[in-house]
Amino acid sequence: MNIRAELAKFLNLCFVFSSAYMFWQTYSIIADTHSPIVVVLSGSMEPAFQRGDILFLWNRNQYSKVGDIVVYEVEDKQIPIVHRVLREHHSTKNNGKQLLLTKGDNNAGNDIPLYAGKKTYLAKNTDIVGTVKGYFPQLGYVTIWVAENKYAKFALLGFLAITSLLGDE
Amino acid sequence: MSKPVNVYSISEVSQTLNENLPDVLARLGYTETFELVDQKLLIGYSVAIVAAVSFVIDKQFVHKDIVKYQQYLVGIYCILSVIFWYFKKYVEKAVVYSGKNDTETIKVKTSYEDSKPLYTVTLIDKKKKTLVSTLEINKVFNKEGYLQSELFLEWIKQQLATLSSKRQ
Repeated sequence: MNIRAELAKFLNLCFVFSSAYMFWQTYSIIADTHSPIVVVLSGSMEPAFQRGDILFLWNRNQYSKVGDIVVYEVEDKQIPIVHRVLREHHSTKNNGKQLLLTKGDNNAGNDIPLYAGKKTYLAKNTDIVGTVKGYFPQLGYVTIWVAENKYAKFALLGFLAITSLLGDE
Repeated sequence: MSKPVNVYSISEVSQTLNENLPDVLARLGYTETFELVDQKLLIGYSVAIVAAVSFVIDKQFVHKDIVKYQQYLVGIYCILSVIFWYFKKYVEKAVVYSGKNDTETIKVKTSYEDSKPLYTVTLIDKKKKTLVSTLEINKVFNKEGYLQSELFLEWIKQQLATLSSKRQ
């Protein structure tokens, strides 16, 4: 066995994963958010976004406007929520804190029942992950399939590993 | 006995010839050296390690606490990636074999063109004298796709002799 050839093949595999991860990390730093790309998991924003759409976020804006589509996270819940800003209040004093009320386009009422700790507004600087600036339709279904099927993650990783180990440099 | 290859696929043929080059040159008295390969692996694995460190700290700590460190890691990753790309494109430059014997060193680059049954070999010695030769693959492969190692060895030996006479 040629150890250098095997190391070179394994390096190809490392590059597949490292380049994808570092692209995501670079975008995360540029957009100033810990999760710059999210997948829509429900139909609460139809017809604007469908389940499976990939959303690209931006979080360097100081204030969100009414009508912006934002992604926020509720305490103790891992899944972020993608809804539209219905109302906002901000102050130019006190570090420019902004409070937002959101609602899904396809929901009957606003999001107050979803907020944690009996809050009636979200705080822009702590609860908002980012504002949606672009999207790609349906590509996120791969993520949904991996999340909902426990064998799919291993199948996908195995497929990536095999193609990079068997492929030419 | 070697495996048969599809002689209508020049990429497969070229890969087979590249894989046989170390054995052929070893029989001609050359010892393979791995400086370029080792340097490429070192740079490549450095890139992978930086990405791995970034991944681990991202999992262990809250994002806003480590943004500064992630910025440094992304910067280092970009610099190392550029170095790796430069090394592959300008330093390694399609070298498939580096070796030496008692008196000289040799580097071998190979290339091919799609749809042409020609295998181009560039030999470079330590004084940077270069010889470019083209081998018609039907001279070293039979119709069943088996490499005729002795014929390939003779052809390489001939090219080395031509390079040697060029130096004098």
